[in-house]
Amino acid sequence: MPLFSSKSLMTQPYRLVSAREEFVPETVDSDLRVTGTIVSAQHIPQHFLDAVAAKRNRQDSTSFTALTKGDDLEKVHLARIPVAVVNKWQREGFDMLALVNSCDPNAAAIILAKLRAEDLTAFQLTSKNI
Amino acid sequence: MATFQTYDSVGAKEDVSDVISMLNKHETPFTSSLSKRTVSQKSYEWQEDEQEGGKDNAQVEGFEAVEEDLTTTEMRSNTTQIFSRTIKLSGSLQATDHYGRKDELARQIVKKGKALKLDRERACVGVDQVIVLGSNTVARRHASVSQLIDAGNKIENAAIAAPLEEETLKAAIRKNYTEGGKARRFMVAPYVAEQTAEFDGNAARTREVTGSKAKEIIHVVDVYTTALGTLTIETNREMKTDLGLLWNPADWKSVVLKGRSWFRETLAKTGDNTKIMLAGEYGLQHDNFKASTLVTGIAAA
Repeated sequence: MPLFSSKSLMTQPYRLVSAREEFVPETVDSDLRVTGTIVSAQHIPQHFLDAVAAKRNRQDSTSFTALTKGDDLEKVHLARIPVAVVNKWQREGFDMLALVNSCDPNAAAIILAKLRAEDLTAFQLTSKNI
Repeated sequence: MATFQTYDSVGAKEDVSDVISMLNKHETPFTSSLSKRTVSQKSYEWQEDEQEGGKDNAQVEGFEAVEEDLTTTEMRSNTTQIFSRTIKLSGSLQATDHYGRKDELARQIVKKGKALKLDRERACVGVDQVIVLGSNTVARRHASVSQLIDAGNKIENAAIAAPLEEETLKAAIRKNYTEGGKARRFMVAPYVAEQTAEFDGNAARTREVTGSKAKEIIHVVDVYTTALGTLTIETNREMKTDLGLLWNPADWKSVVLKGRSWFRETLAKTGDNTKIMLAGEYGLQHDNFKASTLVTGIAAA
C-alpha cells in the first residue's frame, strides 16, 4: 500500500469516509406513514486509529506549556470523534454539539468522560485529566 | 478496518418526510442545528441591537450630566428560497419491484429528501450568495451565511488563498470573544479539518492511501479545549472550500414560510408513471451580524 508524506496531502483528491445512514422500511401504509430501522455505519480505518494513538503518545509526553506553545488561548486538541459516534450519542439523548453550544465550562471534561465510560478512548488525543 | 454500526428503530408510525429529518444530520450540520422561525411574508426582517461594552466611569462630586448618543437598532432582512425535487416512478418499475410499490416510493422519497436537505445546506454555507428578490422568471434566493456576517468579523487567512494558519483560527476565536460572541463551533470543508488536525505538526507523519491517488479523510468532530471554553471543528462536505465559519447555532434561525415546511405532493398523471414532488420554502436569519466570525482565503497547499 503506498504511503504519502503529509506535505502532499492537500494536493491529492480525497475520499471522505463518513457515516452511512439508511432507512430500512418495515411497514409503509397508503399515506406513506412508515415504521422501520435506521442503520448507521462508519468504517474506521486502522491508519486513522494509529494516527490518533501517535498523537496521543506525543501529547502525553509533552508539557502543557509546550502543547499550548505558551499561548494565552491554551488550545489543546482533545479528541477526534467519528460522526457515527456523535450521531449515536445524539439519538441516545447525549447531544455533544448542544453541550458545546451551551458554553458549559465542563463540556470538554464531560465529553472525555463519556469516551472513557464507553470504552472509546481510541478516539482521545490525551490521557491527561482536563 | 473496524466498523462502528448502530441500529435505531423507528417504531411509532412516522410520516416518511419526518424520517428524512432524522437521517444524516452529520451531512447537514449547519441547517440541522438551527432553531425555527415561522414567517408569513416571503421577505422578512429582524432588528439587531448592540450592547455597549464597559468603559472607565468615575464622576466628580456635583458633576453635570452629559447626554449620550443613543444607538438605534438596525433593521436586517432576507427572503425565502423555494427548494424542490421530483420523483418519477414508472408503471413498469412499480409493477416489478419486489419490495412493493409503497416501499419503493418510501425509499425514493427518503433518497430525494436527503438530496433536498443537502441542497439547502449548500444554499446556506456552500455558496457566497447575495439576496435575490426574484421575479416571474428569476428564482428568489436567500442571502447565504457569508452575506449575513459583519465585514469587520471576516478574517482573511492570507492575501492569496493558502492552507489555514493556526494563528488565523486563534485570531478568529479572539475576535469573536472581544465582539461578545459565544461561537464554539468552527465549520470547514473536509480538507481544512485535516489541516487543523495537523497544526501541531509532525513532519514524519505519513498516511495510507487506499485508492489511486485517493486520500481518506475520516469524517470526525475534533474537540479542543481553550482558555475561552470548549471548541469543536466540524467537517461539512457542503461548506464552501475557501471559508471557515466560527458560529453558535443560538445566533442563527432557520426561517420557514408559514405552511411551506417540507411537504410532498402527488402530481397529476401525465403518462404511465407516478410523480411526487417534494418542496419547501426556507430562509436564513443571523440575529446579530457580529455574533459569528468568518475566515476567508483558505486553500489547499
